[in-house]
Amino acid sequence: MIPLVETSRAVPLVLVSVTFPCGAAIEPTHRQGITRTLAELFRRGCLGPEPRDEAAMATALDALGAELRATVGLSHVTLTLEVLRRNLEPAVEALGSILSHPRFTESDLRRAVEQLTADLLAYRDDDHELCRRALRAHLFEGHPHGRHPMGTAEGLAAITLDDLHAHHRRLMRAGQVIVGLAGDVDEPTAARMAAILEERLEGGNDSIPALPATRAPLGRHLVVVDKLGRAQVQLAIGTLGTHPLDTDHTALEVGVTIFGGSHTSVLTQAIRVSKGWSYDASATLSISRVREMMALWAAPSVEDAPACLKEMLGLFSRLVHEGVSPAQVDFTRRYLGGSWAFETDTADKRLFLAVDRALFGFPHDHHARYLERLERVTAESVNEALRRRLSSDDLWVAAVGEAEQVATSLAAAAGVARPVVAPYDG
Amino acid sequence: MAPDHAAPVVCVQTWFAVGSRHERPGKTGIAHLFEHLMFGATENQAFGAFDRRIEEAGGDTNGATWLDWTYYTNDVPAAALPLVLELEADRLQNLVLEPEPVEREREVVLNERRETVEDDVDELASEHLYLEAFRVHGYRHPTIGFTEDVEGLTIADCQAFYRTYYAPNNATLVVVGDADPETVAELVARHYGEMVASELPDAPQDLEPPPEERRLQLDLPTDLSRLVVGFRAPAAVDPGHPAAVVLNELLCGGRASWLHRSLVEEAGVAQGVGGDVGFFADPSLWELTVLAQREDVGPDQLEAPLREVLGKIPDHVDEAALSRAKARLELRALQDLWSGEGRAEQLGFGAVVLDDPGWLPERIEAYRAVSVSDVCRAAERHLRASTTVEVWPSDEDEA
Repeated sequence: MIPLVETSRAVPLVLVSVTFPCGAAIEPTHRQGITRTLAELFRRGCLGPEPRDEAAMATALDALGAELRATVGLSHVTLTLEVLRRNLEPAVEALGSILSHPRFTESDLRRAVEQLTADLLAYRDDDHELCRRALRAHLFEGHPHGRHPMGTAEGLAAITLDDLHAHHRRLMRAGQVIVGLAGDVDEPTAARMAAILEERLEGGNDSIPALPATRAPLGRHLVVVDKLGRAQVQLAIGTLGTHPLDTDHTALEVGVTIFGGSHTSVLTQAIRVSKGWSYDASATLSISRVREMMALWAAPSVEDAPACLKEMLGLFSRLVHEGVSPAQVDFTRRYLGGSWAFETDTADKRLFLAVDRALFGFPHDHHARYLERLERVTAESVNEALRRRLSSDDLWVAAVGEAEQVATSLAAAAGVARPVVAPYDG
Repeated sequence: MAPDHAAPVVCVQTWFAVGSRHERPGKTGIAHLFEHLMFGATENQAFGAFDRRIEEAGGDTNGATWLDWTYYTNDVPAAALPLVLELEADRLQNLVLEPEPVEREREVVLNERRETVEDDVDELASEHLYLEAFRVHGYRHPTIGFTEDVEGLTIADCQAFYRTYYAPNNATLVVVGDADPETVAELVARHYGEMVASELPDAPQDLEPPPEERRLQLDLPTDLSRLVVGFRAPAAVDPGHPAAVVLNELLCGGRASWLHRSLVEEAGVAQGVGGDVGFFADPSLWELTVLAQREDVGPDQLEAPLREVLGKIPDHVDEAALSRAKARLELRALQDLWSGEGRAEQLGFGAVVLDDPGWLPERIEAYRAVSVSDVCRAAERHLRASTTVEVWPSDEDEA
């Protein structure tokens, strides 16, 4: 195993990341949340010749000045260890024990499920997350990308130890594990640390399960997540974007940035600066192994929500049909080109880019050639990408608010006949 | 300044020693609203030009306001350093406040308040905690301001605030990254050299009386109860502050911490515990927060085990536990230094709040020096009278 290494002596810290190139998208339908359960069990200690329960492992890592985090996405699971340089090796040994002998016991599984079920309850208090989840669930309905890595209460409750072992094997064997180190570490030391981890990882190089293509919705739709006592309405509009290796991806990225990717963008100026309707008004373009989501976001007051939604949809329609100007493209190329330096200015950021290259199968010079790709973008290529990839007629609107107050007016603003009303705790 | 030529980028921050604690009753939110207004027009730059010129240079710009301070931050390619200093110096001297942009920004702030306070259970509980805990001191002012106060702020209020607090004798300029000190000095002399000091008001004499037991019950639209307990925290410059921070780490820092073990793992009533010792110029709050694990757990069931742990601190603390807490704090301090922006924040914060921009290494040493008896003394001194906010889920039918 040759680890990805980004050395910097700026801070006496080392970041170690172990990324499995599969995530919640490959979960069995009736076990949604099993990948997070696995990740949670990685944080609950280890079995093996020197077993440690959660408290003992946490105590050991604390004593080393080490912090272990687990991130579960649809396409990956990443364990990140940050540690004081002087304690790198014992911390990596501890991580190796966790990876080789996770605590797959009935009692640890039960505690993990309790904890993750509690997280699901807590997340009901986050309106932005409720909105994002509703948008994805409807935009990608029936597709694994419509799931949330947090899973469902039913899925979590159904998980058995056998399920866990099977999912663990599948995750360990699919694709190659990506190990990276960043910070105050040289290449020989990094190679030694990677060898410690490799020794503990189950081998295997099964192909990563392919996902079906995502499909754009037909027509406009609205889902209102019904939640009482709201002072404002979280709004999101979503449609399909691009795959990061599509030839027009960079052009679309420029178009989305012009529209909602900075303080001076069209959406921010219209919704926030000119009207004062929302603190945040932005547009984002997500990437994954399949065509992901392009989305618009805002959070106006209950009173302003219908007008705000109408304005957002109108602006989006104009973006798709009328496009952007050469001056806007020139400005945004300068913005993205200049700010690229901040994607690579620290060792941890450079490592994350390298992990992305490995995770998504980008060519080795994918990021190195970003500025070249950006330089080639023209107003014509942006407008072609906007017309070809985005649709202002085929999209989902998600809103979190009191349905009785806002569903009818938002439906009218969106030109939707029958909004879907969903409970916030469903 | 802290030169660092590892990457062709620079972070420029301007810190002002003014925050919401300097506001007067009825004028809360002015420090934060004014932070938003600083991105407006000047006598030399049209409305929106600040953001546009920074972005055109490949940079990002933002601001933040808190109890003791306000700061503005710009991450730009190194070549844009002269531009940033020109624009920062200009808005520090020549800001123009017109009614229409002020009205729109007021609406933005009111929407920010709806999003980050009124529709956020934890922030709303925190706002009530500070109001209940402080009866006199300006730390009772919510930084975002009360709605009615923000609605009532006038342009004259903002202009007076600008003239008073936005002056070189109340500001600290921080430059971190790919820049030479000589160049920075020359640019600062050119753009800031003509500025005159303002007459700063005396520091607020708002000494808070000793804490006493207070309790508040809130019915909020949530499914999960919370308990928020605020003790009086020492000022950041207090020699006892490092010991309080170490004790807080023992109580709440990570999965081996005493409160996590007791409330989350053993009692099984909480899904998480949090703790924070205020890092402020004056004595502030030491907050402990507990979130229920299930809908059938009330704040009372969270409080009993919490109080039990607090009552047994001398029984728990030993050298091994202390050593773990110190290692965690060292890690956390260093984690903030990965980026130029993080390093600039540490320098600016140290200069404005602690009068010592190079405070961080000394602070890590101070953590290392904390003893078992220091921790016991911190518990005895600070974890006494508390303000307790119980958050109960409101009946949905009444929400």
